[in-house]
Amino acid sequence: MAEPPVASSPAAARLAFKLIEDGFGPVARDVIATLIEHGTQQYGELLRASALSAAQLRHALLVLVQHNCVNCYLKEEPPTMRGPGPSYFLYEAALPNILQILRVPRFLTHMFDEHGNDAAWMVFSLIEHGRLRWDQLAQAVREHVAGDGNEAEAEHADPDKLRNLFRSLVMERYIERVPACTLPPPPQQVHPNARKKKAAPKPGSEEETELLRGQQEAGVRQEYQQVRFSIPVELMGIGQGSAEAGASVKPAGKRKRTKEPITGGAEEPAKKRGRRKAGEAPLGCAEGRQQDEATTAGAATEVVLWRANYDEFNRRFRNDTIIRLLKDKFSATTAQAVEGMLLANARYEQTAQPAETVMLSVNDVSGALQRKHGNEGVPENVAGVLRHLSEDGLMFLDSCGSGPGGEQFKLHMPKVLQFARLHDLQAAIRNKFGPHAIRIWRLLLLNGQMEQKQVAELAMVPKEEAREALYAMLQAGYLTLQDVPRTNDRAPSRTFYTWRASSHVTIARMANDLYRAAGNLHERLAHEVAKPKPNSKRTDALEASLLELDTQLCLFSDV
Amino acid sequence: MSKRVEEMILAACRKHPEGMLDTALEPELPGVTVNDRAEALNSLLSSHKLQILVNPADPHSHIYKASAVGDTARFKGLTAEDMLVYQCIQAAGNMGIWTRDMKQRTNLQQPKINKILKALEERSLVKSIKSVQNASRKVYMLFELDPAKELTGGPWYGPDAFDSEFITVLQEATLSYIKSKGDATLADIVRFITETGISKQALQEDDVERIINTLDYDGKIDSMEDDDDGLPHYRVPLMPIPDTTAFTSIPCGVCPVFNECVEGGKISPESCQYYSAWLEQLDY
Ligand code: SF4
Repeated sequence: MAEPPVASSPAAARLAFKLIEDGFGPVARDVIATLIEHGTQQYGELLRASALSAAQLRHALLVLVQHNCVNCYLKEEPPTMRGPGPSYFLYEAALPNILQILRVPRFLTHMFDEHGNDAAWMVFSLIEHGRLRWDQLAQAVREHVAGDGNEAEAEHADPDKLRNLFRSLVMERYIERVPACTLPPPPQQVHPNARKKKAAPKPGSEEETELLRGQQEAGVRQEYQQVRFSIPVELMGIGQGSAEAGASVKPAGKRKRTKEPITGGAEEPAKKRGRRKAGEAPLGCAEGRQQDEATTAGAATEVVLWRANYDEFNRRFRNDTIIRLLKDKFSATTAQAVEGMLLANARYEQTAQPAETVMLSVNDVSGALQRKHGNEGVPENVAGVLRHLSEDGLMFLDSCGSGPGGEQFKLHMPKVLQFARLHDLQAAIRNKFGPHAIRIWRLLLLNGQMEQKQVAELAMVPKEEAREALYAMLQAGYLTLQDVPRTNDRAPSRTFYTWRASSHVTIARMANDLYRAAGNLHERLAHEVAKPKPNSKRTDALEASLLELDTQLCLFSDV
Repeated sequence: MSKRVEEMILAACRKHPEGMLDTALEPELPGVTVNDRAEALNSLLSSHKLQILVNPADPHSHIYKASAVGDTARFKGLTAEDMLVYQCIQAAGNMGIWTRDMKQRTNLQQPKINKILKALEERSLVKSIKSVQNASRKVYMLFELDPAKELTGGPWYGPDAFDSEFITVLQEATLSYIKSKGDATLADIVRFITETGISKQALQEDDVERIINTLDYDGKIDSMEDDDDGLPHYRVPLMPIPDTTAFTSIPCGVCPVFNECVEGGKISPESCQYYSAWLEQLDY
């Protein structure tokens, strides 16, 4: 299976610039544009490349980091003969996060539907401010609820209830701790085709040191993953067992890291600070670098910043798509059983980028459904329903034999999602290029590559129309044309030309087109709004279309 | 005597419209000497009452066939060269023959052949057909033959072009049949189409299958193998391709100049006419 589609095309970047300019102004836009153009950069490099004044850049970066539009990492170079190596902060444009700005209304609606008004305000406050301490968040929510003018609601938002709500949202992973700005930068992704097989490094060699350093960095990242959704002791509430509280205390890593209270800038060990050049302090970093043993005493007053976890929202949207598709394609009962699988799998997932679920037994599935919906929510013959699905030619579900909890299955989420995308794609092809085009496209998809004459014959379309449709799709990048020369001189008269449709390529193409279309739509909306007398009917329609387009984008690019 | 022998030969040949071998003729003519028979045959051939053809079962021998009533007049006055061309065309059967190939086979000059063809066409002895595979090539065949499927493209070709309308009609009929039945096999559909008489030409199973396949490519039906009879069954899809998507319900999704559109350019979202029209239609 190909890697999940990633929103990193120029069309996606263009949309991101517009969203940033809308929310944070042109200077912030320039910063993001520079970061996207040059990739991850240090502050000094960024200052030079962006041609902004230091004050402007600092301010923009602060805002962007605060709003999770820029990620900040601490890069530590390997030690040299003279002592520890230099370390510096790196800034990276968080493109996927920026693009989520478009989806905020959908997040809020989802929150409102699932957890009610307060929860929606809570997520709204977090998105509005980017990242907040718990006390700041509670304050913001109270103000919003009071601002609703609804006394009863304001009363409803009493601190304990809010805290409980907050805790449940963290436990459901809608809210996460902000990662420390001192995490090492993510490892470089090498394309699978470019990966070389390397022999295990020799002990004591530089390669081995490199490998160990990589492992150590992965360990640090893993530490964050472990505390990402853990609730600090003081938020556990009165009367809660210490056992529960203990569960949230971070496992002691070998470097004994603890969270550091921060207000504005980050605190760092004096040693390191000395080695860093001026102007390199991390900007707006949430959590300072953790301390050595000497300062662990501060652990009791741990201050944690929280932010909305967009990934979790997308994960839920993804699950909804999967369930809806199975309901349409198979039956309501199948959809129910698969919902159980997704529920049971939730705790093994870290991102919305799907893979196979873990192996789940029938008992796991029924248990998860029962917890969520009670007894009525469990279909009668879960094993039978799942077995039937696993026998289907679409191969969404793999049967993995029997285990202690009954028969076991694995759901192949990418296959289901690809099917959903294909479905949308086909509708788009028909609307875009006409009914003959979709016939030709599917003919090529099902039968492999073919010559033009053959295409016209099998699709039963006049030759001229077939040619027109084929070339229109070729131009838009929805089909490919390959030449198969019969002689070495590749003379066109002695060359076969074959047409080919690939669902992966076309879906990626359409994802890109979706970003382009969203960019255009956004531009037109801005143009309509900027008119002296904007027509609200028109702007509303444009906004609604943009939201719908974003829903489709979510399926094509984010899950 | 010879007149009587001629009549006996003709009568025997009429009993065997598929043609008779010389050896088969002999027992039919009791008491007629070989010489008399040869004489009578020659006379019949020269008056075009009888035709001599290559035996399709054994190309080394030949058969005699009685000419149809009226043929005699049509053949009257044809020269030996005319007959040579005629027989060359006859041999090509319903696949027809191209004039170039005739030239090779008959060793006649092209202008001569053209003249002969014209004469034969005027007498309605042969006809020319355009091949769908090679639009610039005319092929000739006997007037009374139906051209082969390869030449005409099968039932999908009208008098001179591809008949899309006919295909659409067949598609619609097939689809509504599948919808009404809920589940149909190829045999069911072939029977249905024959019964309705939509097609003037009889459609074969593979013709109908092609129509069904186009419906499948259109996403209008699902085909699945049945566990019981192992045959493909056609049904209405559970998840038909949606009529519209978010992408294509805005102008950009179906825009013909999508790739040329840039902000501030000649074609731009701000000045886009498609959007203007789309927004205007909201006002009503
Ligand atoms: S904005 Fe207008 S011109 Fe540009 S792609 Fe969209 S519809 Fe086409």
